[in-house]
Amino acid sequence: MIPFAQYLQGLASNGDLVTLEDPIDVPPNVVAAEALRASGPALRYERADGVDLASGTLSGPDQMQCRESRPWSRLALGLGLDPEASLVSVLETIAGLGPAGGDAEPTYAGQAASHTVDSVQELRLPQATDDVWSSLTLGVASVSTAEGSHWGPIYGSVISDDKLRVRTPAALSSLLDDDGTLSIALGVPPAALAATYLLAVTRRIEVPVQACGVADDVPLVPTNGGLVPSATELVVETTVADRRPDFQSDRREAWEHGVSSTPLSLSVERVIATDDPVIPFSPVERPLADDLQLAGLATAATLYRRVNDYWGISPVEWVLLPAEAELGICFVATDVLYAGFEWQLTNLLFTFSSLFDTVVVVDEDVSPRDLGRVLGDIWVKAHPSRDWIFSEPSAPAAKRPRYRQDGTTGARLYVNAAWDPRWEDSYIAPRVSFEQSFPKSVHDAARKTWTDCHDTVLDDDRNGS
Amino acid sequence: MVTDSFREYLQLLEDADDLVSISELVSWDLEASAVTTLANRNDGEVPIFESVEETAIDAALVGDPYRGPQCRPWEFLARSFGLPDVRSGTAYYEAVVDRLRSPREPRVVDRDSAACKEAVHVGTEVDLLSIPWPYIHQGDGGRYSNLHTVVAPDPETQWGHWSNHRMMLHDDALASLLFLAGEQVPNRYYYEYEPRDEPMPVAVVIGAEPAVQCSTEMWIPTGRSEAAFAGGLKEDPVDLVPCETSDLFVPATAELVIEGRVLPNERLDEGPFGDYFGYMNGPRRSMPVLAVDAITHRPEPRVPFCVEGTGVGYGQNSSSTLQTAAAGPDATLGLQAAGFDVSLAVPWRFTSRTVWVIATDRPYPGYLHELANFIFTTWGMLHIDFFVFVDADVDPLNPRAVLTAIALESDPDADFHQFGVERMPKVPLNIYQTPDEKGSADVGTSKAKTAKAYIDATTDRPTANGSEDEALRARAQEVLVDAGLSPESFDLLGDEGGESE
Amino acid sequence: MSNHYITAAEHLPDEETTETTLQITDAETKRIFEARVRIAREPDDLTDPRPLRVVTGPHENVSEERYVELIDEIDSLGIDDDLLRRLASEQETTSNIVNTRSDDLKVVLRYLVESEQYDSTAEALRKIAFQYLAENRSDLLEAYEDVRTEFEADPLRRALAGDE
Repeated sequence: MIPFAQYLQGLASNGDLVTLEDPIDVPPNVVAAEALRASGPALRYERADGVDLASGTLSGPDQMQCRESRPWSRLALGLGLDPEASLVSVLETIAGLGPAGGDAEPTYAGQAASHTVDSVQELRLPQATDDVWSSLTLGVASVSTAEGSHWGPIYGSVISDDKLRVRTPAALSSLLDDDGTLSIALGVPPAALAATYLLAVTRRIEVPVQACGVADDVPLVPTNGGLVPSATELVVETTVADRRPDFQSDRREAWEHGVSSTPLSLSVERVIATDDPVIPFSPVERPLADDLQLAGLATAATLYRRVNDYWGISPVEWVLLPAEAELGICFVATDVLYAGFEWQLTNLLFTFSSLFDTVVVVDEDVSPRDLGRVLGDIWVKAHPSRDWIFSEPSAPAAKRPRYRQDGTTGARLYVNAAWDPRWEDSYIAPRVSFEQSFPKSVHDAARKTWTDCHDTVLDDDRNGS
Repeated sequence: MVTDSFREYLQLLEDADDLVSISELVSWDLEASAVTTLANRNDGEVPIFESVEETAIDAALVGDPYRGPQCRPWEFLARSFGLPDVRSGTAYYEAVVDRLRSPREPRVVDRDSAACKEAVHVGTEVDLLSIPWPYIHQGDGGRYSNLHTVVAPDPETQWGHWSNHRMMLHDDALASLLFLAGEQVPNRYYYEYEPRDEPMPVAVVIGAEPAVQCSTEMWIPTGRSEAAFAGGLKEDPVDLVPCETSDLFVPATAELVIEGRVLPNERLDEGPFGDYFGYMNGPRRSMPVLAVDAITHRPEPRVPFCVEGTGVGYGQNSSSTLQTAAAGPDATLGLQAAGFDVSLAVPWRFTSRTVWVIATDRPYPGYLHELANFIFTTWGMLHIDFFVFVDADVDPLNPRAVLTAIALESDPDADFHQFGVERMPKVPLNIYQTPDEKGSADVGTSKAKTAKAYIDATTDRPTANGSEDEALRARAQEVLVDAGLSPESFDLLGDEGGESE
Repeated sequence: MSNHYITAAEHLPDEETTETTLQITDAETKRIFEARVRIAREPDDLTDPRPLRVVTGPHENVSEERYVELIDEIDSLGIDDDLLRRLASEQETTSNIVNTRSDDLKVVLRYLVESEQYDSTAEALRKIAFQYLAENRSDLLEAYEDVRTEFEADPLRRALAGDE
């Protein structure tokens, strides 16, 4: 288990976090969004006034260019994996944080957040440019029932010293009484946030956290709401003021696209923090935002597990909902077992998730790190008329896209960018690539020539020429 | 400083440490291409191979000289045209479109002052294989020249028509040319010269100046000449010189000129070859024959080549860069001139030629249909299969923004058009048709047709978020650069950000 | 002579070891030329066998190994039409007697005539030679055919043009 502050130190020592110091004359949300757009490092905002913030901690570079790290590299580190970990190991780790079928053994520890903060406003949480109030994002809400504690994602606005307006999954708020208590944990170990998103997108919020794999890994501590990770940077304990307030929020965290949510009005009872707290925030609805990446990975994790459990074999190599497509397109790499299998697989994906109505199928040998190749192959390898398959317009509308939000039915699309399994091998055109276009002897000679001439260039630099 | 020759362009690259000179012996047989593939893949410097094994003429090979940096592919060409440090693709496009609006007729210079005539070989002295043409991919049908300009006669302009057709070298005086019917020069050959049993004079110009190579990539309306647009690009007339053995004109500063005739009713094998969509494409076809009558060149010619097929996915090469940096602005201007409300037309980042993204307004119902089919029936006919239309305020050079637009705005029920209708011609340069479908059509289009489709990724509803404050965004970018981030990744920085060069 | 050659399956003759004309690539220099060759599966069937890779398949990435013996390179498309025309033009005013200066050939030809296979030695030589040329130098015969047609079609133009 890696506490959030320690996680940030890990990113910094990997060269993947840059610290900004006050005064900064631009709102943190804008800076965060620009860093994400530029596929930059995670950021830490050291502030004289207010709690330290961090952005981009759960996000990563875009995949529109070839890069050294992946969108999931930082999260891999936060989950205790190597930053070079494969997509699939990240997906499997996330899936393992969910309901464990009775095998979880929760551990408990003392509360790291020990000193009281006078008011929520004192935190000076970030405020989006057009917003009236400052907002909290990437929160974990914890509610207690007879079965145990239940977690769900939560975000919202700070209305006053002691009033919050938030949104959280309907499944979680339905567990609350009219004057129930709810704790909001900010700056939790990445594993805890990943688990929370997973529970939301898989609709398993009713499973108590003590029965989930995350409890094996993350020690817990009680609060007035429910159990939260003991290593949490900041806990806001609240009671429910209004279970059905009538405000609208302009912005939605990414998990909400597929999960029904409700507003709540909360009264802040107490805010406790670690000695030098730092909490993450996400520039919600900006490209590549943290909540978007996390929602994409949590959804991919659950889809990957479900399709590979379905037929008694595991033909699917990986599933990806890239943030660049805003969760509106699902990419899947699979062994195409027989002609028509791709149709079955895509329909299964549509059944398991209501987010998207577009799926792209690629061969199992395509790497999830090679999205560039996929985005070329869909046009070149897929026949425009035979491999772009549109269903009849009687499918339920997908939730993520901006069209057809009136709920009328429509069509679904999948693009089959895999080789036709009926084709003879000789029909399959060999790819042009360093590996395939040259024999090994030429690889070796070419590599040597390339490295030699770069050594030479470096030598020239040292000699000042 | 505007470059007037390929050599000056290479010097420009060298001065900025964007060129790496390899003096150790390298073979033209796959090795030069393999090293260039590494350079392309790693976004490294352009390699020039000064010492090529087994070459009779002391020539150097240059691997993908026009490949620009992955984050800003147009950068080297912008530099060579003396354009200001254009940080954003939109600014580059606007500057180039502006230049193309003012073409300049070329100027004919004296044979004696033409650098490309330093050495002249005619008749029995002609030996094509004395030049170190590269063998580019394992499995290619032969050695290739593929980064050049084919000059052919054009009844409407004395300067001839310039286009690019890959050329497979056979022997000392013979080569085959990939002539696909549907393109202008092949059409003239198949439907005018050949039926008259008349050889068509051509000149293959290798290592011409950047403005010439760029205009070769462009689709120029009939009646105009690429030469004039090349002059417009560099704001100076291009110098031309007459051929030795025909009435054609060729750029005077070219590294190497192959003069000859495309013979009527003769064919030689051409292909297979790894082509622009990233895959090997075969089988070999019977294609027209170039009989070489003369070779002229500069001393120690620099012979450029393109590792075709590495410009897909994340990779860039010369042809993908030329598509983005030359064909794109030209298409933008052409569509605007044809009366369409287009702000930018650009090739898709991950596979050029097959897909284009067009940012446009939609002034009337049916407008996108007209625009798509206009292009499909003109310059897009052979190679382009798809268009993606986005709103005028979406940057089509930003693939993330385009992918987002497709995901969130393109309704499979309503916004995907013409996908199922197989009525349009297709070149056999594709990997999605079976061999039977491609047939053995010798003139170049496949037996079976294909669909040509477009995706309407424009939005039907206003964006909830509203537009972001650009001044704030720029300030945020400055803050990040001050904190140590590289200015390369930002597009709103002022002139202070240009010091990275 | 190279060590290794390449050709495409579609160029191969149906029967093995018969002589045929083939478009062939020198694997080292990648020079492509036409040659008279014999091809066999086993090297022992040929006098001076070299390895021959025969590529096939829609992308020619499938291959078989055979052996090839290069008999003669053909100057494909190398028929000098101007030379042919000049010779044909000269022939209009010259004798068509050809002397083979070979006693052995004369004996053999006379044998064929005496055994009633041909009417005369001239006819025998004509038929045998044309048969050989049709099989082995059909390009030359075709080129000559074109020249002859040209001559027959336009005697007036030729007369006006003189013998340029």
